[in-house]
Amino acid sequence: MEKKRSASVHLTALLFILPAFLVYTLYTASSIFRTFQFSLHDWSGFGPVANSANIGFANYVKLFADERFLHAIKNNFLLVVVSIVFQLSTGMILALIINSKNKGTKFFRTIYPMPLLLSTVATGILWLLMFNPYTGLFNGLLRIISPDVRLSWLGSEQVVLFAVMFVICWQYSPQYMILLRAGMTNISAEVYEAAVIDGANKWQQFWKITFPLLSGTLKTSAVLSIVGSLKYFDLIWIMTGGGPNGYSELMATYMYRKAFTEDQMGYASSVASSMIVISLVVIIIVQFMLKQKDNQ
Amino acid sequence: MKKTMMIALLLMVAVTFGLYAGGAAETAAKPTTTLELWHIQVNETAKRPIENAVRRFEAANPGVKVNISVIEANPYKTKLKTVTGNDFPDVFHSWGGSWLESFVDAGMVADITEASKAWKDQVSESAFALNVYDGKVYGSPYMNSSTIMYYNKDLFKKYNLTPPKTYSELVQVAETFKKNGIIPFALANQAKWPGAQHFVLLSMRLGGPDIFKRAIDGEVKFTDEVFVKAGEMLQDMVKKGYFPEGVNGIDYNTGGSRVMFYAEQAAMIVQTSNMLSIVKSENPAFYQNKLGVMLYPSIEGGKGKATDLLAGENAFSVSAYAENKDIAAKLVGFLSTDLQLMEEYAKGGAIGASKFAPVPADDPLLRDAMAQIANATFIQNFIDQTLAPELANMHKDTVQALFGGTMTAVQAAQTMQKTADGLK
Amino acid sequence: MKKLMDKVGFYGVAGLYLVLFGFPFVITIVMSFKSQMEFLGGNFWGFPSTLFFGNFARVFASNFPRYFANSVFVTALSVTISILAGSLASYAIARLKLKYAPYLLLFFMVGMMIPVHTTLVPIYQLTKAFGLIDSHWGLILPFVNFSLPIAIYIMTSFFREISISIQESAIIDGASPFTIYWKIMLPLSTPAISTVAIYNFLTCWNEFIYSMTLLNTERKKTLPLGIREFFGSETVNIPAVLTAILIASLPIIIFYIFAQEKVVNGLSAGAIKG
Repeated sequence: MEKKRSASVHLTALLFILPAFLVYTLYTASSIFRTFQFSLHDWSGFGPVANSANIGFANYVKLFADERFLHAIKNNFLLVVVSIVFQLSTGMILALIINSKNKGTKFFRTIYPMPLLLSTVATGILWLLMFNPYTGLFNGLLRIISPDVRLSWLGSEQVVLFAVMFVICWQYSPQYMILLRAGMTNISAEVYEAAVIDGANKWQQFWKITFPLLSGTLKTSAVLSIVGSLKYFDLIWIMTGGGPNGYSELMATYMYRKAFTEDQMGYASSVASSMIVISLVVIIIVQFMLKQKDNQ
Repeated sequence: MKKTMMIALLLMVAVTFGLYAGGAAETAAKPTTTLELWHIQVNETAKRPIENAVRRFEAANPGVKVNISVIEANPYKTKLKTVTGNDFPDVFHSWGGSWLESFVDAGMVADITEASKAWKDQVSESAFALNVYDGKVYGSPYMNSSTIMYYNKDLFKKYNLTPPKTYSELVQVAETFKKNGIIPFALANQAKWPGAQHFVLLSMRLGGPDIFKRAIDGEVKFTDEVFVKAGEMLQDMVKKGYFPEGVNGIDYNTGGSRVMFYAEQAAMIVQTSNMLSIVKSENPAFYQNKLGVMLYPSIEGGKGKATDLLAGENAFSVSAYAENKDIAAKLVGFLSTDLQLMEEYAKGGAIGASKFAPVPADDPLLRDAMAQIANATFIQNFIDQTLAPELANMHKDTVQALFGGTMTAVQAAQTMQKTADGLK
Repeated sequence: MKKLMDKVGFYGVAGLYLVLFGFPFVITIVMSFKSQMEFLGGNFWGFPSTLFFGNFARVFASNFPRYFANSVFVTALSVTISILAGSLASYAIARLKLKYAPYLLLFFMVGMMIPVHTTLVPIYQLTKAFGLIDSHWGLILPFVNFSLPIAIYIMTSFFREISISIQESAIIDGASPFTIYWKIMLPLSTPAISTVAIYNFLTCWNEFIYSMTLLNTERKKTLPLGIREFFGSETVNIPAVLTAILIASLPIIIFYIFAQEKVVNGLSAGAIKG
C-alpha cells in the first residue's frame, strides 16, 4: 500500500514538473551545455564552432590571469554587497510605508515602483542626462554649495562605480518592495492586535513580529539580489559600457564585449561559464549559511 | 470581482487578437526573386533615400522584391553575428576594413569582383578599396563618411579669428576663446570613439598619414615616439583646458557635446560627417547660419598634411548564402552609383559614394565636406574599423584614459603594444 | 502629540522617497510635451515654454498599434504559461516531499545565473531548428523559459510557508494533489503569483535582444523594437523616445496596479502566518 502510494506520488510529481522541466531543459540547460562547449574552443563566433580548434581549458587559464576580468569579479562582488544592504533595506522601508494604514499609501504604492516599470532604456537616458557634468541635475545641486563643480560622475575612475551602483539600487529597490509587501500580507492581523494589547510599540512590533515572520521572504529577496547582481548588465552597458578604462566593468559586460565586439565567442563563453559557476557556488554557500542559522 | 476580472481579461484577449489578426494580408503577386536587405541608416535623411532607390530598382527589375530591415548599428552588429545560413541577409550593410574581413574569412561574403567591374570606376576609389581583400572585391560603398573639424563661424568672426591651418595657429585660436570664457573644443567622450579621432589625427599629422598602417604591418611599434608624442599633445590640450571638463562622463548620442556647441559654449568640434545631417535635422538654423567645416590643422615639423583625411565608408556586401547573387550584386552596384539616390542623400546632408554625386549648389557645407574627400592627399580608414577588434577596443580605452589623465602617454602606448603582441 | 509626530515622520520619509522614485516618471511626462529643439536649446529639466504635441503625433503616426498588439500577445501568453507551468513545478518541489526537491530547485535556479547574451547563439540555433524564426511562438518559448526560474523560486518559497495542516486536512478529505494545488495552494498564494506576474510581465514586455534577433518582419515586431525606431544613429531625439516609452509603459503600470489589488485581495483570502 505504502509503496503504491509512493509510486503514484512520483508520477504526480513528474506530471507537475514536466512542462516547466521540458521548456527549461530545452532552452536554458541546453544553452548552458553549449556555452561550456563553446568555451573549450578558440572560436571567433563566425562559422560553425566545430571548425575551430578545441583548446581544452586554455580559455580558462587565460581568463583567470586576465586583469580586466578579475577586476570585473571584484566589481560584481562589491555590487552584491551594496545591493543586499541598500536594495533590501530600502525595499523594506518602502514595503512598510505602502503596507501601513495611513492615508495615501495607494498613491505611494503606484509611484514607488516607477524606476522598475519604466523601461531601462528610459532610465538609462535620464541618468545619462542627470550625470552630465555641465547640464546634469546632480552637479546642479552641488553647485548650490560650491559654484564651480564639474564632477564627471561617469567619467571618473574613482566615482563611476558608485554612481552606477546608486542607479542600480534605485532601480531595483522597488522590486524588493513588491516582494516584501507580498510577504507582509501573509502575516495575520491578529498577531499585531495581540501585540498591541501587550503594549508593544511600532518599533517592537516590527522587530518582534514583522521581521522574524518575513525571514523567508527576506532570504528569497537576498538570493534574488545576489544572483541579479552577479549577472547584472543593462544599465552599466547603457551608461558606461564598462568604462572608463574598465572601472565599471562587470562580468556580463565583459562577456558581451568579448563576444560581440571583439569576435572572441569562445573566450566570452568561458566568461559566461565562470559566471554560472561563481553564482552557483555563492548561492550554495549562502543557502548553507542560512540553513545553519535556522538550525541554531 | 472574479467575474469583472474575467470579463476584462476576455476583452483584452479579444481586442488583442482582433488587432493581431488584422493587417496580416500578404501581397498577392508572387515575386520570382526576393532579396533581404539589412542596413543601419536609421536617420530619416538616409533611410528614405535608400528606400526610394530600392523601389526604383524593383521597378527596373520586374519580379524582384526587396525587403528592407533598418536596424540600429549596435544591435545590428549583434544580430548579424548571430544569424546563419538562409537567415543571413542577401545584401547587408558593412563598414569594410577589419569588420568585414572577419565575415570574409568565415566564407560568409560573396566575391563580387566580376560584377563590380561594371560600376567600380564610378565610385570613390579609397572607399571602394576598403572592400578588397587579396585582390577580391567583397562589397561596394554607398555612402561616404569622414572626420571633419566643425566650427562656429559666428564665434570666429566675433573674436576676429580665422580657421587655424597649423597647430600653433590652433593654439592661438584656442587661447583667445579661453580668455573669453569659451571652451575651444566641445567633446562627449563617454563612448570613446569621439575623442579617439583627435588622437588618430594628431598621430597622422606627426608621423605621416600611413603611421597606423605601418604600425599594423609591424614596421613601427605602438610604442613609437609618434604615438607617445600624440598622447602627450592630447594631454597637454586637456591640461590647457581646450576640452570641457569631465569629457569621459559626457554622452555623445544624447547630445552632450552638440548642446554645448549649439549654445556657443564651445567653438569647435571634431566629428564624423554624419554630424552634418544630424545638425541639419536637429538645428536647421545653426546649420544654415553658423556651422563651418575645416581640416584638422597640420603640425609644424610633422610628416602629415592637413589634407590627409580620416574617413570611412558605408558599404553593401552580398551574402555567400544568397540564392541569387547576380541580382544581389546588381542591387549593390545600383545603390553605389544611382545619381538620384546621391542627390537625395545630399538634401539630407549625407555624402553619396559615387564620384559623380552632384555637388549641391545651395549647400556650401556639404560642398566643402565633399571637396575635403575629393582633394584628400591620403585617406586613412577609421581606426576602429582598421585595427583588429580587440586592439581597436584597447585603442579607444587607452585614449579615453589619456583624456581622463589616468594613464600617461607612455603607459597608453605600452598597453597598446602589449595587446598587439598578445594577438600574434 | 506623539501621534502627530508619527504622522509627520511618516509623510516626511514617504514624501522623500516619492521624490526619489517618482521623478523619472514626472520628467518623462514633462519631456514628452517638449520639442527636441527646445530640449537641445538648453531647456533640459524645466517645463516646456509651449505645450508641444509633435512627439505624440509621431508615435501615433508610426506602427505603434501593431507593435502594441504583438507585445500584448507575446507577453500575455508568456506570463500565463510561465505562471501555470511554474506554479505546478513549484508545488511539486515544495509539497510533494521529493527527495531530490532541493536539487531540482537548484537546477531551475541556475537559469537565473546565466548571462542573457550567452544564450543568444544557442537559442537562435534552436529556434531555427524548430522553424520558428520570425514567429511569435519562437519568442514566447524562450520568454517562458526565462520567466520560469524566478517564478519557480519565488513560488516555491511561498508555498513552503503555507501551513501544512491545511494540506493535510485536505488529504484526509481525499483531495488529489491537483485539487489541493488548484483549490488551496493557488488561491492562497495570490500575493506570490501577483508578484511573479509583475516581474515576468516586466521582463517580457521590455525584452529587446531576443526580439531583435529572432524577429525579422516589420509587422511582427514588438514594442521595444518599435521604440528603437526613434533612436537615430549617433543621435537620440530624447523627447520623442521618452514619449514612446511613456506610452509603451502604460500597460505595465496598469498591470502593476491591477496585480497589487490582487495582493490586497490575497489578504482577505486569509492570512496564513503567525
